[in-house]
Amino acid sequence: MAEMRINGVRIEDTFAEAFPMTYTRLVITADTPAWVEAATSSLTGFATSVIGCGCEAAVERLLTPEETPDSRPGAAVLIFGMSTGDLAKLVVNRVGQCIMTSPGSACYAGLLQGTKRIPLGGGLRYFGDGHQISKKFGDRRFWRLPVMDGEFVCEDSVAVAKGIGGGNFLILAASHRQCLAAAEAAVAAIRPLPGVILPFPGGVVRSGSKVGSKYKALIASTNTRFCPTLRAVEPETLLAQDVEAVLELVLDGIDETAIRIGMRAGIAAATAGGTAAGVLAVTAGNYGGKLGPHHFHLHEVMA
Amino acid sequence: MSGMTLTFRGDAGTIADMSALLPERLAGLTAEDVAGLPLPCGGEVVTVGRMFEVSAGDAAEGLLIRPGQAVLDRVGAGMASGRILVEGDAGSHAGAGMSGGLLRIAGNARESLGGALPGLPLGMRGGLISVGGSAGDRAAERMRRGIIVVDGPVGAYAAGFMVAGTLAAGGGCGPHPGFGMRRGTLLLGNAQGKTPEGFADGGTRDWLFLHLLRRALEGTGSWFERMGNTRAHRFVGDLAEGGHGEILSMV
Repeated sequence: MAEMRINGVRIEDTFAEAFPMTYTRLVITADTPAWVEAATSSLTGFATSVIGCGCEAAVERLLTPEETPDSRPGAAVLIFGMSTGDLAKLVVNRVGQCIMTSPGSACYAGLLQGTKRIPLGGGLRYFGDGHQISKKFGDRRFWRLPVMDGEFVCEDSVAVAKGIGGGNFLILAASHRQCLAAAEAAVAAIRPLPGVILPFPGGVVRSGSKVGSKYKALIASTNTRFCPTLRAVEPETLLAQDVEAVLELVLDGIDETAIRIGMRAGIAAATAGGTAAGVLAVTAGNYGGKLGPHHFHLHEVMA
Repeated sequence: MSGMTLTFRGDAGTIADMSALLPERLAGLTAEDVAGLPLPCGGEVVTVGRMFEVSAGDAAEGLLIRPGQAVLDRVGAGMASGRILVEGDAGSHAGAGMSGGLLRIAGNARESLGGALPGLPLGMRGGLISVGGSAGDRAAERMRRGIIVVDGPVGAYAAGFMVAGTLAAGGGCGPHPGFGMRRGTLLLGNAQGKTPEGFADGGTRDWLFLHLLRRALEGTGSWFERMGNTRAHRFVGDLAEGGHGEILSMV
């Protein structure tokens, strides 16, 4: 395939390799946007990678009072796990510890149709110690749990569906500062998009990993081929001499289209300043097609 | 409504049992078919066509009933799905034992709205009843699930022996509300002068779940949908039944 460049930035002829995940969407509301942020930052904390956290989660988008079930400010949160069973345990724990504890909060299902349902209030209701109240409006059941600031209102259950985790691209730049600026631009372009999240801190990963390690206890270790400081000693390095820093964006999405649109928007933003902004190349992480069935070829994404 | 219309053409004051004329039972039937169905009426059984003018249309799309001066009992009783609109008043036991669908009564309803049919242990088990006028005694008696919203007042023993569900009466209620109530919500549009008998004062606050109720009532044009407030005084009871039910009085 012919070489592709965007504003002089080389787009490598490679692909991002992603894999199936199970996801759900929660709608969190509170009295003010600040308390929505407090609740959701707690809910999505320590949820960057399934490898160490069990799930991957982030705010999908903020919601206006007109968009929420209780007419208050809110946010839609996407949570991804490796299986329905994993997600069921993680979601009810996180909602119980991070949302129910947050003043004035409420939790609703943001996904009503899916492959299965997992409990929300249905698992938390026993906290009410017999004083919990069920209300069913239409097809949706809610639980009212008495708490110290009044009632915690929580939907009984939420649907789960098949999504995709591990969409990615890497930005190779001439300096760390320029690499970070390009990554920030990409994050700003992706965050408003529906159906896709960036679960890592600030939406960016600096410690990309490869499968395996010289230490038997580790299943993953630093991605030596993209570490600038190892260029001189790593025979399989993928970095040219002029690359000083690499940052990665990892995207989880509700389907291939969401990830494809997210990657396209992110790469377009990262390369908008061109080589003049110090961005030298964009590539992607894959495992030769052995990890997952979803392959996002950069040239196709940016065509 | 693009469905079927039944317009009463009998004598004023005629009493008829409408429990067999449900949208799910009439779906797919022609006007002639429906006109030939039996109808318990005034102590005898006549045909629907003798008492009603039946329009062309499919009841699956909705059933419009124009009662005129008749007393139509058990409208929508046992209904599981579909829509019934009554352009006027309904008799007793409207929506009794209903398990789904929408029953909209533009006028008044008599006693046992959404209640239990004689001999049956439970009242309404699902669906939505909306009444533009008032309702008689024992509304929502033994109700198990669903929503009843009445713009005007309801009579005595409202939500009596209620098991769960919601009765919202914009014009308040008669004596002995929530008698024997186990769970569920009786929402009243006016303030209560004193704590209802068998209930304990639970204080005043904003109730978040009332936003959800309002969303569920969107499109009904009911008093609670129009009311922007969610602040209410709560009374907990019936204490003789465990005290898990509630009467919410809007303030």
